[in-house]
Amino acid sequence: MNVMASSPLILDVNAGAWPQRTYKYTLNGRSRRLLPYAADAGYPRNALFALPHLKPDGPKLLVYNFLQEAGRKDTERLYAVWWSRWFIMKYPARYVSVLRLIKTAKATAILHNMDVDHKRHGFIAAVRRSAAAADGGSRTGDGQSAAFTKDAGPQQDCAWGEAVAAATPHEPEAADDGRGPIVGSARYMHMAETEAKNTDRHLSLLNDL
Amino acid sequence: MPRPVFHRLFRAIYDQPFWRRSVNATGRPQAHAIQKVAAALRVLGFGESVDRADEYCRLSCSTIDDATHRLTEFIIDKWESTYLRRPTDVELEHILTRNAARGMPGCMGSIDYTHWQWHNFAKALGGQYLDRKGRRSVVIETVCDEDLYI
Repeated sequence: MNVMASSPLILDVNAGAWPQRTYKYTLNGRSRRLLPYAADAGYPRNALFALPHLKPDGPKLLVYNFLQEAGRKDTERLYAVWWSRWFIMKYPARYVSVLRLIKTAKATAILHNMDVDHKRHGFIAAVRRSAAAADGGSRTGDGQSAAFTKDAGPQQDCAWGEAVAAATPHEPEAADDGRGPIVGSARYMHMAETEAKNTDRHLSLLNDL
Repeated sequence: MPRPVFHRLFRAIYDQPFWRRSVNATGRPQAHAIQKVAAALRVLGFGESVDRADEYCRLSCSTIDDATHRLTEFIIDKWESTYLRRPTDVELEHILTRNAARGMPGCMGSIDYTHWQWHNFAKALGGQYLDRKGRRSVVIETVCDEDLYI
């Protein structure tokens, strides 16, 4: 995708700069360090994105899709809120230079963030701080007890974990990080995330649904 | 835009060089800062053309255009590092906790992009920005979390 090739976020990820390697989360007893984004099906199946299953068959995949849609809806909602706050984003842009378009979008995004921060009375920052303090960094996933046999992916973590082990990501590896393990690792991650639906909490959620 | 946010913006901006009220060569005071800020915010907030608010704010359309441009630049200079940045470690920790509670453990947020249609594109650049509907547009890519915090 051309968009991916020029997005600053993705460029940072390709350079190995963005998702810090200091975080680990555990799914089914397997921990990995590359934190994914919930994305829709327009994105390639990289390890960075948690994509929905295209053809969900079976309750586990369906539940995964439900939860993933719920996460993905945030940005869709954001576009509605952002554009109703700043109508200039809604109409066809009148400016000629791309730089000015970028500036306008950035400025409205900053003002939007200030609004959100104000509406919560600084609640976001306070809550984030207190929750992280209470959590103490001992966060584990919930799929620990699930015994699963579906794992056909590679046994190791994705390349993010390997780069940590290497501890000095030199240039080709760092450029390889975001995109290298495309299909296998993404599928592997999907399977692992889907396995996380095995727990009692997710089954109860399925019953609720 | 909530009033305290406006006050915060206005207090930050009202004594800046372009914005403060000056006296011109004939000794008459020029436009007050609140005129320019209000006009620029009307352009941003209501998507008006720059000469829509000229009678309301008593400014010329070129002044409003200039003010809008300078306002965006001012906001970006002053607050980009505060409000438009990657989450810090502490925030990321909290985002991960909340997303784990929502059933997506280890998820950093949701990412999506949209097309902002481009009306006055340059012909030379037009071909690069064709979207799938045949219109010219610029792609905006955002990441946000549960609070709609970009």
